[in-house]
Amino acid sequence: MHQIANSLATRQLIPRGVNQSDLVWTYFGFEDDDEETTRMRLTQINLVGSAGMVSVEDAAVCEMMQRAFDDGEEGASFIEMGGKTLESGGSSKLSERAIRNFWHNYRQYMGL
Amino acid sequence: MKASDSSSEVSLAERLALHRQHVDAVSYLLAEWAHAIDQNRVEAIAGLMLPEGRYTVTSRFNHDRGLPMAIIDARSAAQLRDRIKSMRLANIYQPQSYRHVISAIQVIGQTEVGLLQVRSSFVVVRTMELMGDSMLFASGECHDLIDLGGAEPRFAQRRMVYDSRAVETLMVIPI
Repeated sequence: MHQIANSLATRQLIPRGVNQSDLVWTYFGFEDDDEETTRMRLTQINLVGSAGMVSVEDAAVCEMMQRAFDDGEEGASFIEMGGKTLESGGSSKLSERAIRNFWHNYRQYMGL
Repeated sequence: MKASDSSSEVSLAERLALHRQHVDAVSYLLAEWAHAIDQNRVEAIAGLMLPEGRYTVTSRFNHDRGLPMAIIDARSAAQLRDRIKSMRLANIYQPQSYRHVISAIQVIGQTEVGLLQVRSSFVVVRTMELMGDSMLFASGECHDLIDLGGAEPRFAQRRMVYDSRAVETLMVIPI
């Protein structure tokens, strides 16, 4: 999910192979948004997406990271962001705490 | 592609007469835009638009369904200028250049206020400077409204509709 100013969208990162993935952006508003709000959301799409002035680099950064991973002798890398446990990483967004907790709960709910 | 013009109301003969009258000025303006971008004089394209002009880049998928989402929608020449400034100063990307190929230029009508309705096809090949490889970046159709009433021809509207459903990595240089 992204919210940048009043632009709302879902972003799906779909792997297409080792060296390729699609980033699918679905922009949305609400049925009861007035015309002005809808217009504003559409205008602010200029900031986001594959030609967005704020997020134009998003896909390029993923590409650069993939290349960096490949540079290892094994062709694989591991980055530990903010520790290993469900509690570690603090409240900063610069940690994988949220992702670790998401997959932990996912495995629980799915009985894995 | 869903037609976004009312050219069917005008006979082919009438359209051809209008086309013959204006094709030089129109083609020149289209080429001016393309060369400015391809030669890395991107700032110049904002000057080819009327101050209150509009420049939009959208997918055929959205265009055909009447969906308003556009990956670029500059509602004035100043907004386009801002975007180009962002490209020069703020955005991080691999150095790259474009080559535009424009074809099938047709003047297909005229609006009530005298703007020419023009359509053309485009292909943009992108070359990445680091590896030196070129690839097809975008193809599609331009729907333009062109003002020939001033001292120089200007775009009142440029609507670039690209065929693909996806943009390869990013579109930081306007097409």
